[in-house]
Amino acid sequence: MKRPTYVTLLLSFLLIASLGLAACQAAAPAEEEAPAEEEEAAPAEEEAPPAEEEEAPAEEEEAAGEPIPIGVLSNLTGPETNSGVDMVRGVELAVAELNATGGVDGRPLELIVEDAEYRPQLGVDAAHKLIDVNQVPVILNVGGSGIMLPVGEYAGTQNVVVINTGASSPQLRDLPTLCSVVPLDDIVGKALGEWAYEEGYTTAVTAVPNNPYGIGVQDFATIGFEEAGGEVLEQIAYIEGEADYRPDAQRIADLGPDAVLSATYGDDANLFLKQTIEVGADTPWFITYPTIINVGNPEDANGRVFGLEPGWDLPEAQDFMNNVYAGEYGEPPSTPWANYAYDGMMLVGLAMRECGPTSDCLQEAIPEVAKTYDGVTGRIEFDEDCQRPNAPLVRMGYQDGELQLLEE
Amino acid sequence: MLNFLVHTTTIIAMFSLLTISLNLQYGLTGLVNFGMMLFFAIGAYASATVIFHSWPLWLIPIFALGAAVVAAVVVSLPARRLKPDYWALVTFGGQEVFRLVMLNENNIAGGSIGTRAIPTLITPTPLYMATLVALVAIAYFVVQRIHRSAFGRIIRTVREDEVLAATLGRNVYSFQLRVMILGAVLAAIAGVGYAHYITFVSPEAFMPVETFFIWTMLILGGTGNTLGAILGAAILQTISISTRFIANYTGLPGDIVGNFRIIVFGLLLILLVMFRPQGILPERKLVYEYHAQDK
Amino acid sequence: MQVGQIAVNSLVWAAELGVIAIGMSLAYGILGFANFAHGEFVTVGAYLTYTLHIQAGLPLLIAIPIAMLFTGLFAVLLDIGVFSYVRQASAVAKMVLSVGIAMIIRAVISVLFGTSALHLEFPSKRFEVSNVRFTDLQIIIIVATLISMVLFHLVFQQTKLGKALRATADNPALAEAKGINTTGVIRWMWFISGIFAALGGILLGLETQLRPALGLFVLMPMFAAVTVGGLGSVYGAVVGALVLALAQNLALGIDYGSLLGFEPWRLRAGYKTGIALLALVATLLVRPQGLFGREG
Repeated sequence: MKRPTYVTLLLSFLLIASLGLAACQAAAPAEEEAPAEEEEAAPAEEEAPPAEEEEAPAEEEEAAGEPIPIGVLSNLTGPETNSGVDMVRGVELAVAELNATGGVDGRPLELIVEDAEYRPQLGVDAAHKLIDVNQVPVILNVGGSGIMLPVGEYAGTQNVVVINTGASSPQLRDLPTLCSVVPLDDIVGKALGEWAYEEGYTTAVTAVPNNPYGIGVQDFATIGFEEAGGEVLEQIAYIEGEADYRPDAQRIADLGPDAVLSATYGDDANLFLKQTIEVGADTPWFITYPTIINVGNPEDANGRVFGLEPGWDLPEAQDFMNNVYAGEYGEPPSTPWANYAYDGMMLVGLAMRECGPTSDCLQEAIPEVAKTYDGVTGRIEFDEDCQRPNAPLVRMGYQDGELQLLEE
Repeated sequence: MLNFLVHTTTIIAMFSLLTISLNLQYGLTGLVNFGMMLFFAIGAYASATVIFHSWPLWLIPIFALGAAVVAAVVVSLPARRLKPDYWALVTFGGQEVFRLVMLNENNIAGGSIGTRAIPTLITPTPLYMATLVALVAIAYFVVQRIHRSAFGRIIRTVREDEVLAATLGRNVYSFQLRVMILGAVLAAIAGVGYAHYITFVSPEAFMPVETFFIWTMLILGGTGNTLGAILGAAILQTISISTRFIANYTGLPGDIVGNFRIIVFGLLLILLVMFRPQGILPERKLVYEYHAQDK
Repeated sequence: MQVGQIAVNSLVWAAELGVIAIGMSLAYGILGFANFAHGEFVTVGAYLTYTLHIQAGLPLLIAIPIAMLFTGLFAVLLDIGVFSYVRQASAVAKMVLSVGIAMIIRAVISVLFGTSALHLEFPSKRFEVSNVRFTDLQIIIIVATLISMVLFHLVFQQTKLGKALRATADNPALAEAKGINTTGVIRWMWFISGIFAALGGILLGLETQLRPALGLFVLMPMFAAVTVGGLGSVYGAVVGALVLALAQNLALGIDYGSLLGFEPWRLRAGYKTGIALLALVATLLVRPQGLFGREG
């Protein structure tokens, strides 16, 4: 083989380096101080006061002892990172609070945050690292479903619990060690369809992003709308991340429905809404999780955009977003996933306090501790698949340039 | 820890099949295929479709190989009439057309929801890894045989100078087609390996940019050298994993790390093309006579 | 099917794409390879405008030319720093090189600006004329494209630089022999192509939104437009963009089912990029030089 030294050196260096770091991490996690993961999620431009250090001197029950590794799998790079960043911060806030009140049996919880870049194969790589090398008993994952499904499959084979803090494909039900803090699409979508019909709209078009979340809402909103008596003219699933939605918007204009049922969010939502008006489709929009849509021009939305939001109006949610989260990171979260992530992590911590930092314990105890936990997303109940069958849904609508609760 | 090494080796083996395939097409024959995701996705979707419809499993190899051959024929048809960079654009677009169909048609393999619970069939995992590694070894030997054979000489002539090959009486297109078919089959096998290992197939795993990672692996390892192809896959996957550990260790913000990885890959590509386009392991020149040849 | 609205939709998209395609076609004609980094000039121009207008507070009319200028200079720097070293390399090698550059630019922009969409604030007014809706911004975009084309034509046909550009595109060796400074010409070409790409990106950004993947998104439609119009033909690029935009909107707007006497059936809108790709493939198969291109 030509130039064996060149090749061997390079390969050996990389392999040894990564194995060495892996060994370091797996064998002596106590050496890594908690502030390390504070930096991972808090972007450089904001003051990042490590919450632990601030509260440490005040509490006498400060957690100290061998840290318990907690896996966090998020999307910190890729097409949409707001949900990923919010989710990690929600988890961090929960961990800060848990550690400041004694951790678990005196041991602090330690986060290991990995980025899946919204690519399934990388998500699986990260899951393997967290489970095989870092030996975490639980992974909090924001999704999407395309990542959570294979991650959940592997975690199931290794008896590691996955906490779903953001994906909603009903297929997640089938994963044995997965618990969802977010309600799956079957509930929210159906309620949306029923509401639109209640408002007197008899024909509708569904317009959703072509991903598991969107399709889930599409399917169940259609069921809800049609079972109530309406007719869905066409189901439009648009491709995310494009710069031009005029053909899709034109389709809606051509069909002329009474209402549009949607799961649109983020930057695409802004563009889509804008372009539907520009091509002449003036219908009202009913959207799931309306707080995460980005409306460029609020005047476009007044009286036109309505939505169903789980638990946004709760005083606990408002306090969490505007005081706790904003206090730490400078502004409230832009997506609801911070709230779910916070609740998910709190449940993990509380469950561990009942019976220890093992995944068996979590599977037993999470549904139990949920019964007495007042979450920032409301009261949490789990059904036999460890999915959340209820979530307090509130109706909201755009008025005077902002999203407001609608009077019942 | 062992599980992790097994996992990494499995992924490297899967990428190796892809780089060997690309090496056969580009390294040896000069076919600039920017659409590696097409054959890869075909293999993965062959599995996904069969599982989605609960059809008998023996259909998987039939679909995978059949569709790969058909796709190879379709894609290679324009190659004879187009300059390499034009043809590259065709392949780049072709892979995306396939992905769009899979994304929009929910009845084939679930559309954007994808197909889950694809059975791994060969368990335990180390055995699966061993199977893939064995396949890589077979692919390696097959391509080496080709490299040394008359067929190999001819495709290298095609690579260097199509006109010359034609004047020598060779049906250039027939050779290109055969190479494409073999390359497609290799990539489709990698796709099937992916589907049954990750157990979930959805369109977002086959974005067009992924094809450039395979190109980077090949160029790094050595274009024209089959061992180089495997080496490139191994190095790049190792870099990908190492950056995770480096990130944890140094506490770099998570959102920087992913982009950092991409910047590293981009830099590798640029530096390689500029300063060492033959990669780490250059192509082995086979010597046929013992007097000096100009090169 | 609203023909009028489809026409407007197509015109706007074609205008945005056309400006970008001009630069791409010019580059291909002179450099001889498909520059994957061209899409990133689009993104850079748009984000520079954002920095100048939104972050630094400069008025749009000042921010835009500055951003265009800087993008042009950036393109020239790329040539000096990278591409001038590989003049002798194959088209494929240069293509792969441009891919690497594109990856880096995209990643750097993601790091600097984040991945959320940013907006160049330009509140547009809406108009409606006999059931066809459009906005004042869209008119501006179309006019800007037309002006660019005219300016480009003037430079290309009437100036010494233009002559040198055409000569180099036709036959670099001969041009060099006749005393034309081909290196200088190539630098000018990068500059011009960068400026136009930036303008296209700014127009696109004004009308829609800014994302790091903007360049990636326009890449395929741009290749398609340039190929259909004719690689190397600059006017062809704009015509190609128009043909593509119309084809896309029509293909999606037609109710094939009713036309054939069946249930109404249309292509899913999700295939819109697919149509551009199929047009690309079809052109390359049937008439590789495109509508206006020269052979080879």
